[in-house]
Amino acid sequence: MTEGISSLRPRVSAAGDDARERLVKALGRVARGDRAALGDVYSATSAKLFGVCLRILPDREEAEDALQEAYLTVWRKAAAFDPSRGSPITWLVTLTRNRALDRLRSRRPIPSEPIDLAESIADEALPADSLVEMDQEAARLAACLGELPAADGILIRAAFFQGSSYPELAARVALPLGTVKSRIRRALVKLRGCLTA
Amino acid sequence: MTASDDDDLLAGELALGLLDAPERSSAEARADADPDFAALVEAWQVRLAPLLTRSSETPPEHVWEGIRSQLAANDDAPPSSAEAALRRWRMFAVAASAVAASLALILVTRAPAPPPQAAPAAAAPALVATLQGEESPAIVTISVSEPGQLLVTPVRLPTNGRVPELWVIPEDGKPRSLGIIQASAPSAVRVAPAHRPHVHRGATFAISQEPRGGSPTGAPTGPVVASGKITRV
Repeated sequence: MTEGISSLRPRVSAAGDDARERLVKALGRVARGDRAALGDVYSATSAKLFGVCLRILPDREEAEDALQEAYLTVWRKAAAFDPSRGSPITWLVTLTRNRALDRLRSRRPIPSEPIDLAESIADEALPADSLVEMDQEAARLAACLGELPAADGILIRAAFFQGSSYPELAARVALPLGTVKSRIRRALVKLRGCLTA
Repeated sequence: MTASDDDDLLAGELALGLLDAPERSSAEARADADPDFAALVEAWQVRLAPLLTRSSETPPEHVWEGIRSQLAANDDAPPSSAEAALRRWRMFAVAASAVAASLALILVTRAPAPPPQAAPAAAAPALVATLQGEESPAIVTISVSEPGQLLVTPVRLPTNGRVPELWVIPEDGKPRSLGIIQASAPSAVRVAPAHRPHVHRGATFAISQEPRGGSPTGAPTGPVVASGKITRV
């Protein structure tokens, strides 16, 4: 499946390469304890990462707290970022999502309300013109998620945005664990096929 | 389905957060040990990231201020020099001279001195800030005991023969004196009504070392030995 990675990489523009290079260098300096470099990383990425926090934590104050925690984690863990293993922005987005999910799950109750698989997902049904504004990868992902059965898309989003595990999802949709697992795995296979086609 | 398909699905499940705790630990351990598997996880993260980065929004200024102040309080990295810290405070001092007059109104009362070691635990429920030193080993906790009333508990606060003075620094960057505190026992500090609006979440508490009697100028004149962000109120 490594062709999946390589098929995504060439779409990064030359300007994107420059930005990526700068970010990799700044993270290297952060790893050596350079505070100004953390400021550079923040300037370059905070709007994007705040968007990530807001997507998971609609409460603005909580999203702001999660964003702070994310950059403090960057400060402590920058040395763990390995540019040969992945892109800095993916590393940052993943780390930020994890901080936001930690915060979401530290609240009581954790997301456990029933999920109605028949409901429509209003916020994901994007108007055509917003598709134009999205970058290629986002548009492609939206299109591929759109090709899944609606219920599977709902399950995948619940896992992704709320950090719900298989057992939690099974409880929330009131289906047997095995059914939920096989359904999501099937959806993941389809999604991967669509994205790497 | 081939073995590598199974691996890739497991990678996707890990990236999405579907695994329960034991499964997740074992998958994470594998990602740490197996670069090929780690690459599969990364590929899923790349695939899914656009879901999260669809919209960007510039965060408010105080988010960065909070990060910066927590770096000052918590990091182990080589700190900036004491001279630089002092210079910063001198700049604050100049900027703050305009508010010096109002500082005369501040009332500071001493706590009826509970044993210092007992105070942090008693104050824990209303803890609003932990101050730490950038260059010094100082640790001071601040709690709100009642509205307008702070309990300032030095866990460790070196004095170097000077007296510690507490300041609150709101977003405008100008330190407002909250008065002299004790170095080795908790102090009850009554915040003057004029300064209460400055004591809010996101503002910074700082402690500087001043001559006996406190800063002669109404702004910090000595080095800052501890600082920390107000995290609640």
